[in-house]
Amino acid sequence: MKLLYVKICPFYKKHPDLYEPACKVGITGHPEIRLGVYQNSYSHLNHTATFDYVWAGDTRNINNIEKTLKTQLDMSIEKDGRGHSEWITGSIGMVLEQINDTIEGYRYNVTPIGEEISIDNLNKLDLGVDKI
Amino acid sequence: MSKNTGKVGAYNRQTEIKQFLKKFEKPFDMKDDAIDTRTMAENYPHGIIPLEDISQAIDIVLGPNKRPKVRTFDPELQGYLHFDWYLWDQLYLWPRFQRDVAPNHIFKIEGDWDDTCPIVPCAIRVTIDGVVYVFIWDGHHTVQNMKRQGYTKFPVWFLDVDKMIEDGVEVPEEFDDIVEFAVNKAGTNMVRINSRNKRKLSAYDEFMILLEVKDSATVSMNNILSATGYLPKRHPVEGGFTQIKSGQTIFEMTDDYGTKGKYFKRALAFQKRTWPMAPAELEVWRPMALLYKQCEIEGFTLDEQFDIELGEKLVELYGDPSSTQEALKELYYDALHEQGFTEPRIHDQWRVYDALISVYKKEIGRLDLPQAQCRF
Repeated sequence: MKLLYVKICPFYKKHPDLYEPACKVGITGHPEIRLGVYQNSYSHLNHTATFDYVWAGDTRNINNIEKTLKTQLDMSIEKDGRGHSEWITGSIGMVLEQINDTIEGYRYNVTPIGEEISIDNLNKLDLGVDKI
Repeated sequence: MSKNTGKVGAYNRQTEIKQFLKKFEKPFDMKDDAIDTRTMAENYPHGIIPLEDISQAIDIVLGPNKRPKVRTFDPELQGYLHFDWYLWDQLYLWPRFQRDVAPNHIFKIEGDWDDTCPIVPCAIRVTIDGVVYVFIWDGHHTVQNMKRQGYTKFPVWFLDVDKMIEDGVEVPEEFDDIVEFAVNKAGTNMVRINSRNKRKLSAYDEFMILLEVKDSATVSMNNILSATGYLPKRHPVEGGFTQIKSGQTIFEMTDDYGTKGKYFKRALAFQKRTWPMAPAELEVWRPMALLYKQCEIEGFTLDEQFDIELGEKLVELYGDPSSTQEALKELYYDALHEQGFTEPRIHDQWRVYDALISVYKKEIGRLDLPQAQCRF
């Protein structure tokens, strides 16, 4: 089992009036490691690394939806290069709508988790072991 | 530019591309392997693009590190390259920098000849022992075809070695004289043009051009794509159809009445009904087309319900079309490793074909289907 996630830029999340709307769309089979990497740049006093929207599915469906979304959202990526190429600029609502339309239209076997996931509630995910 | 930083940083290709695209009402793909000029053209009256705009787009995609040194060069002023018309007995071949001539290739060109088609052959012109020779280094087959077509004059674009000698062009040390230098240029250019930098026309570009010139098979295939909700595309985007060559092969499959395109159309309609947004997935629609044909040959009728129930089952089991074909191939390989097959399939289209039959029989089984060669 793997996850597709949307992580909203923490600056924008806290102060949408001051910062540009932006989010990352990514996938992981090891959310604890990925969240740890994100947490690395911030003190927990100010920000807890969080996947704001999460979908779970088998490795194949999650890998394929990521490929599709990268193509679809390419025009909303402002910069390429390490650390930049996953940042999607624009309304979070637009990104979520794109993801939901894609799940529906391509009929990906993925399930929304329905709540934010951080290191504090990771135990809610049962990632199991995938065949691939 | 961020409202927080207020600064423009170092070159970033994606940023530059987005900046460039702001000039256009209709954005288009700008990738290393293709700038989508067909979409770009929608921004211009009559779809006609100034080369300068494409040149700017190329510079942006390649970036500043790949930009050649700035210079201005007027080849006409330099005076060594010229165009002229020649008579047949003025033209020669010096096999030192040419390939052997292929009569069968000449005959092939001849079958497709049109007087508007020949490109201008390339040559070097040099005087040896008082005789002026024009040696063709590219387009020899074309020029031979012109002769067979009755041409009395032959267009040639040539490097004037005599003029180089007259001007006292300095010969690099490794060459005995300027003729050897020119021969080296001709040979290097021959390989450069015909081998090293030859770029085959992609199936997608060929299809789009044939569509523009109203080639009947291409128009018919495109009509099927439109009718089933697909558009020919270079890359697999939403609703795109990228597998042109395979599409042409399946389109050409005829039914008992010699009608083309029937299985191609139903297979695409099956995919569209099941996965409405996804690009056409080769190893979904192709094995489905083969299945429709085989059923017809063997006398099995597949009703509309067959498409609905199989599609829904594939979605339920595997999800999107890419995941579906990957999973079906995996089923085949798992069975191959576990039970072995007397005659294993050698192509993915047949592996998926066998897997589709197995899945249908196991999971649905309402209709009879042909026997899979590899059953599991």
